[in-house]
Amino acid sequence: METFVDSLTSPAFMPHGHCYYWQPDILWSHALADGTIATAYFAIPLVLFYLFAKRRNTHYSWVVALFALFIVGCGITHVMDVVTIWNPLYRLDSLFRIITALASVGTAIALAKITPQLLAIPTAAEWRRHNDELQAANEELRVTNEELVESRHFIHKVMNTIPNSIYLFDLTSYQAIYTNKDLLVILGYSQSEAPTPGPAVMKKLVHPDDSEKRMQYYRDFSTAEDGERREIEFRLRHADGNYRHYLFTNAVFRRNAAGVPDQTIGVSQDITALKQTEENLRNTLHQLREANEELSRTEETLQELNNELEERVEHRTRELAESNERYELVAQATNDAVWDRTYSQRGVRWNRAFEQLFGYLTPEEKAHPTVDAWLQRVHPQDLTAILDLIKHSVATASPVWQVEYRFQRADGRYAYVLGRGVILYGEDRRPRRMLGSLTDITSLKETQLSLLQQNQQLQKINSDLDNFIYLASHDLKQPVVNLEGLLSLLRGNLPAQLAAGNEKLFSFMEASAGRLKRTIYELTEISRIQQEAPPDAEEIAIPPLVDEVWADLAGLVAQAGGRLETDFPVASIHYSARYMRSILYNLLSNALKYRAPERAAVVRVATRLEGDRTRLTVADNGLGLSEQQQSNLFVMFKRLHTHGEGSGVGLYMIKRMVENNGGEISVASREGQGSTFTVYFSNKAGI
Amino acid sequence: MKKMQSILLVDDDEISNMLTAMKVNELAMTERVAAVTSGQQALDYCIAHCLTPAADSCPDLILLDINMPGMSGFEFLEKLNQLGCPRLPKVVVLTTSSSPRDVERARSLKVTGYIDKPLTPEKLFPLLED
Repeated sequence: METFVDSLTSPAFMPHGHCYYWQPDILWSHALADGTIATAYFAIPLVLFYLFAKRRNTHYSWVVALFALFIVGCGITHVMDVVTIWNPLYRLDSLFRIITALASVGTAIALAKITPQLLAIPTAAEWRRHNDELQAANEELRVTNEELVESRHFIHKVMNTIPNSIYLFDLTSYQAIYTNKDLLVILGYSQSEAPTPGPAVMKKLVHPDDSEKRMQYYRDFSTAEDGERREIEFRLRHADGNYRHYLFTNAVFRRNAAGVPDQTIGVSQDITALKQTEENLRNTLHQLREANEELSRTEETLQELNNELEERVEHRTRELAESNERYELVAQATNDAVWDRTYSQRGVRWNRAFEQLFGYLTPEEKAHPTVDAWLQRVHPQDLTAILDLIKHSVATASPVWQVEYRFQRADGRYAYVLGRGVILYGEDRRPRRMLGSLTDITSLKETQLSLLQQNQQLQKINSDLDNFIYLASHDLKQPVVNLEGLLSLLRGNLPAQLAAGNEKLFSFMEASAGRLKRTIYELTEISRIQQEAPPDAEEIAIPPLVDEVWADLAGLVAQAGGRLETDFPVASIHYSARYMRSILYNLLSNALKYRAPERAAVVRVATRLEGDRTRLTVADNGLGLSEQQQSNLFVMFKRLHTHGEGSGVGLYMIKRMVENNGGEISVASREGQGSTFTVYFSNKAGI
Repeated sequence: MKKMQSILLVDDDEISNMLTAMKVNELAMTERVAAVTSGQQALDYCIAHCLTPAADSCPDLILLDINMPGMSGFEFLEKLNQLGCPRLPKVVVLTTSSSPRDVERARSLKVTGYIDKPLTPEKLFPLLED
């Protein structure tokens, strides 16, 4: 049996060349043309596959495959056309043609089916346009991105640069969830000492008095409008321990789903310096207000003063008018020569006494009195001094001058005058008017000169007297000392018997020499007190000194049966020890010497403080003194009692001592009862 | 007290000089007492006795009166200080003057002491103790 395959290749037909009559031209043209078409048809799928492989498109791969199959089928039909020219394989040819036909139909249907999709594929121009648009959009995006980066950098920089803290505050958790600057850093806390951040930290930082206010501020934000800014000031504790003032400004940043603000954005600003300035301003304002009040008060006072001044000026003007009248009257009445010169006017006015006192004014001078009339008569030796004095007075704006000078009378003799001047100054401090007077003091001056001469003479006499006493005492002392020495020598040299027989005479001689010596000694002492500077003062304890003097007077004490009573509330005194001793010695010895013979002597010594003076009293129960005796008591060489050994110098001497040192001494006494001597020592004096 | 070689008495009052010499002898202060009656004589004495290098006869002590005619005690003291003696005698002023001016002046001329006449050992000896 003939198989299908065999049937396909069975040569039961005549080759196609026969149709061409084997004419080469037609035969070969068909053969070559079909061969070329077949080659081209085989090549097209290859190209399509290449393209497909390069541009893999999953959507349309089956269309490409169908198309390739269809083209290959067409190619095979053309190959079969060439083959059948010589080899009549028409059945195979038909098979291929059927397959090709099916592929063609399938391809056509598929193409028709996808045509709308294919039409939807943009054209190349469209693609290019799209592409261009895309590129432009892309460029736009890039620029926007750059701007965004720049903007972000800017914001970052701003945030870092501004001194203020900008923050987002969460109203739910009551803490800042963003801040450009950490508040703790701003407040100067270092990493180690900073409190842990969070809501609790604000409790530690916010001033306790401000804490509630701050919480209320944030709570109130629930009602805030968008864009509404709210401010609050409160104090935060700086790392240095001081509280600083901050101003916080917040606005709603975000709202929750219910539309209630749940975040705010805020700025904080340190306003401590501002506060300080504000405080200072307030103080300054306060001070200014006070100063202003003070000024108002001063103004009132000034006004009062001004009123008073006006009254006084009025009063003075009245007085001046009266005074001018008085001047005229006085100038006429006085015996002094009075002149009056007003600087703005020529000449000078003299009163009548000028002529009477000095005997003249020439008719010319009377008619036109000038200052020269006065100056020409001043003694040439005194003129410069007067002019200098007036110049000096004017230069120092001194209102008064006074000088003594010699002034010539009509007879040519000079009179001594006391010149006085009163200068009245204008508001410009320049002299406006000068009033002067000349008082004739010739007789006064002469008396004064004679007194001066007498005084000098007296001083000389006094000094001579002092010298005399000094020399006399020295020159007297020498022979007395010699006399004593010689008496003692004589007594030693005389045979014992002779000496014994004249013992009384010797003792008289010695007593006389002793008395003479003591008197000379006391004279010398007085002279010495006059001459010497007060001896140096020192702090003296009074009780022991009194005891010491009392002991020195032991002989007298024994004779008088003396008893000493003391009372020393003031126990020491700043005084010369030598003088104090001398004062006590004299007073105590007098108290014993002039005792009342019928009773034992009682001597009371006491001190008291009286004001700034120390008082010493020595009281006795002795003979006492009559009033007349008391008045002569402190006179030199005045002995009041005939008995006793006094030289009459002691009391005079101590009076000098006391008075020379700013103190005083007095006595109170009743005859037959006793005497009390009181000495006041000045505690202020240098002694 | 150590006995002195010599003592010079200077006083215009011869009686005073005599009494002082007797006292010095009585106190056995020295073997040799010389007395002159004026400042000038005292100066001459010192020139003669104190300027030699040995100066044995230079007095150890001069008892000097102040008020003397001619050269006073003070003038003598000034000149004595200018002499430049190898060994200056001690000078004690012995006078009847108790004037503070005289006491002050004597002190300024650096005398050993200033005592009131008459001479007594109580007044003199304490001054001579070194």
